Amino acid sequence: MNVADYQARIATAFDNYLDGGHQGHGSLVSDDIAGGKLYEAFVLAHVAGRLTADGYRLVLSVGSEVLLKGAAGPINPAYPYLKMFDGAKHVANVWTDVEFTALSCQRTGIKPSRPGHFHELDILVCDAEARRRPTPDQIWVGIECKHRKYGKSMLREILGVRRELSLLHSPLRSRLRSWPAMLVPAHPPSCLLVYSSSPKVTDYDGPGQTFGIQFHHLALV
Amino acid sequence: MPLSQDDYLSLLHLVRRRVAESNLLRYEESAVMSALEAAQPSQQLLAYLDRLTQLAAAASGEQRERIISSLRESISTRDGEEISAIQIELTDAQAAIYGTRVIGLPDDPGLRSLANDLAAIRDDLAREIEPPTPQRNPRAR
Repeated sequence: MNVADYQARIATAFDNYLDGGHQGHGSLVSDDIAGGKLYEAFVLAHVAGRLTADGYRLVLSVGSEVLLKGAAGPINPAYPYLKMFDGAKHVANVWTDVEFTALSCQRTGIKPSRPGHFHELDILVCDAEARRRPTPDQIWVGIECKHRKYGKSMLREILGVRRELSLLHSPLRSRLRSWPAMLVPAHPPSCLLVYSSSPKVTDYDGPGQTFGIQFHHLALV
Repeated sequence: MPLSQDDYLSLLHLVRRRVAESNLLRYEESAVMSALEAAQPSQQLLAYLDRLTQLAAAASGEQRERIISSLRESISTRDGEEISAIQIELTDAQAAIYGTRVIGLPDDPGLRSLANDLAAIRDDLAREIEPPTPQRNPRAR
């Protein structure tokens, strides 16, 4: 096939799109939100698959619709979330778009009220008893999802999150059976993961090996 | 005759122009960012088409259906129903603009068709750039 053939195919593809009257998808939701939320749901499905493969059972708390939030906030049990069971015991919950209490705030003993007192993660697995903004000792796994080119500012951001989740420590047993890690160099021993659709994400895994952050390239397919 | 790097660059420019003309500029920045990760025009074109296809397919709803299907495999519901949808709860500011509190992810068959067409073009270009390794003839000396 020569360049003219490809030019014709490209033109036809776009002509067909325009001929169909598709001047954009006409959705109310912006593509930034849609793409990011779709990737978050994709990672959630991946995480759910890993947890159930390890023997946990996941049950949606209410209804049959998975709800993602346009912005993070404190835990609100009135909204759908995933209950995580180990056998018959309800051990943890999986939340999306919730804030956790920063370690620095917890250590001062004050209630999180100012923006620097708490941070958000896209997916959070924490104690079943956790309410409002879980404290670092209640967190099993925190996950950040990036559906964009991964860069150094994002590395700095996740290093800050790690700092506000736990202190560097000799490896401690995580709260999970095996996935994502049995040992974590952190106290409290929460697992922290970054998923990105950008292959560049794995270029930044050096600091993660020291501080207990996993960087995964997971293409949206 | 194999395509030259100038040919790949001209195709990249053509796709970008058609993206703009088709009112799909919302995908342009992200696709260009992906292309910039590659050094050669041929790889830039593939990266651009990859990202464009991905975004168009995401918007079309195809991936949403796959994700829902995947969620169904791992998550049960209290009343035994299957997971039926993924919804987004908007912030107060977003809700004020959109006039609704909860929305679903978008779906558009036309966009899905465009994504499929571009993916096919991308696959053919990839074969031009990286032709399959020829099988060694065991009788050759």
